[in-house]
Amino acid sequence: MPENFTQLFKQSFSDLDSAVSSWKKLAEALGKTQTGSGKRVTGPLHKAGWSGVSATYGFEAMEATESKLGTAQLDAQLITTTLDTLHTKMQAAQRKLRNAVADAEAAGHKVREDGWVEPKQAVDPKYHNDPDYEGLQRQANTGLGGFRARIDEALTDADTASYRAAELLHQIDPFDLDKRYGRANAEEDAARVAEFAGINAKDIPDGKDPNQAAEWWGDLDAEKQRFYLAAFPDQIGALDGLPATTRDQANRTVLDMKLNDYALREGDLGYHDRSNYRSLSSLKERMEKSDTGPAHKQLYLLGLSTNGDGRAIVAMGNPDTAKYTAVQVPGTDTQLENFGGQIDRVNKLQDAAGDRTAGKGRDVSTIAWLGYNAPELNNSVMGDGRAKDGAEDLRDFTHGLRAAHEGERTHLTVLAHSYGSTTAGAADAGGQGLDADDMVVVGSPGLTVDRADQLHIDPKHLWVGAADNDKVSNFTSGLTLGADPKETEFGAQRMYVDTSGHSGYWDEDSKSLENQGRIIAGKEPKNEGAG
Amino acid sequence: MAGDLNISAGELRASAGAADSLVTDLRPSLKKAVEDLTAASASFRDWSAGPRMEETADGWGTALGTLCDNLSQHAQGMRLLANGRDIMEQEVLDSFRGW
Repeated sequence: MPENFTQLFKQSFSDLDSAVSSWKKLAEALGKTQTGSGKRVTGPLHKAGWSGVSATYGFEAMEATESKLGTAQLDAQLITTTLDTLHTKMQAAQRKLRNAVADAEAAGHKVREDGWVEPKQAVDPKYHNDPDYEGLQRQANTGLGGFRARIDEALTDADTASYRAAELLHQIDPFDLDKRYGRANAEEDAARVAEFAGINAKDIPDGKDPNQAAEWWGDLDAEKQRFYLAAFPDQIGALDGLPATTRDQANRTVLDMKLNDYALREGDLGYHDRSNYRSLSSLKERMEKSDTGPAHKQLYLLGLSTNGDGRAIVAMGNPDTAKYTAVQVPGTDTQLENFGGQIDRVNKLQDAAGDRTAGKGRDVSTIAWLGYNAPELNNSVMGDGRAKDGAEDLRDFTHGLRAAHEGERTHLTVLAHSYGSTTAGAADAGGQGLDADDMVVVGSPGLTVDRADQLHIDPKHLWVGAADNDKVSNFTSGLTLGADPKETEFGAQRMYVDTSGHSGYWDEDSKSLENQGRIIAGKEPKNEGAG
Repeated sequence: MAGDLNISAGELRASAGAADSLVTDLRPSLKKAVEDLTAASASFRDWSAGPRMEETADGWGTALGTLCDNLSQHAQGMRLLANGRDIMEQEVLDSFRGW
């Protein structure tokens, strides 16, 4: 006999519907509380420079609470998705059941209250000894088995959905909230909930086509977007083509998880991990400070990795809405540990550009891109291997900016220093180039090509800055990394600089900084002697 | 340790106020979510998911309620510091319990 027939037939879903809606709102509220705590509680205290014993206790406690809010948001999202999927599957099972009953009754069968489908009496039972009786009965009941099977199937579907949802709800453990590894456990739960809900992590694009990734994300409904963001932040944060705010949210989650993981193992960390722990803590503090600042000074974490020397991509100002966007590619010996200096540099570039834009900098986004493994001061700096490895990533990144941008096309400038210019050159030489409107290279040892017209950028928009006493530009350019781009025969434009050495190009009040700002703002640089 | 504060009392009180208002905004959503899930568990009592829904409502209701309390305690801690209390006093320390 079918079990739970009446229950499924009459099941009301309005309470479950309300629960789905209120847990969805709770997940959103938890996210807002976490963000709000960073922006309005701890952010202002970081900005005010609170330090000392009380600050150490205070920040540690409040940051633990913020981390728990993030985990709670994910768990609430998982509970929402589990309940929603249960709702969908059980309602589908109910429809199947009711249709089977309706069809059985339409075919002349009686369906009992317990769900059993009775055979039709085609012939008066008093004729049961008649040799034709069996045959006639069988003919009249050819559909009987099918109706019974459909009812059983519907009930099995409902039972299975209920069982799986029950298991998942049991696994989403509130006791995890109090543990630093709580988020990691929630991520494991996420994979199981995804399977239940028919959301496949394998559907996330591989990142090779930013336009395709942008389209995939745009086609998802808000609920699915929230789920992917909460459950797979690693992959979503790294996906070129997705909105900056989405990538930032995902990568901040990844950052928190990494920090919690390091904190858990603090006593056992090796040299490399200890260095990463310090760097990531600094990065987090810097981001929290910026959260309380004006919109164009807010930082967006567009990429993060602790593999090797580490990678990070941080935008100052939202690139999806900026009229002028600049990507700064650093050179030798840049790694997570000294990445703060790169953020300082893009801050100066934004200010320099902002002096010349209608929005006074509010329409400018400058991005520090350490998305490749910058060479160390050893043999790795003499070969173009690292540059070529990073080239495709840089192209995907700039194409991703284009795909995610809203409204009118942004004026995109790629600025690159030292070996970073070799990477930028390799990137613009290959594939479809960087799709930049201007390129600025300073202190360049070469762009992996012999002539400017071997790049995709219009040579009239390729600017080369080289200080008179820049040793890299003077002594390594034209050797192993391509022709010397400052030479006339290379075919690029010279950008006047008045600074000294290999790393002075961003000195305050310098013409070099001013000229980079002018180019970012879509204007021509000024030559020496110009007013 | 007394007087090791290098920011103004006003700044601490502003952050404390912000923390309190976050809690005020969050609690109603939590209450509704727990109530609705408890109601759903009743209407699904004949299914295996029903009791688990009730368990989720209870467990998560308590855990998230505690989280709200933590944030309120941090606010209280900040106010105590702003009023000149020392971080090493038990009452202040209790409001800044982390992991």
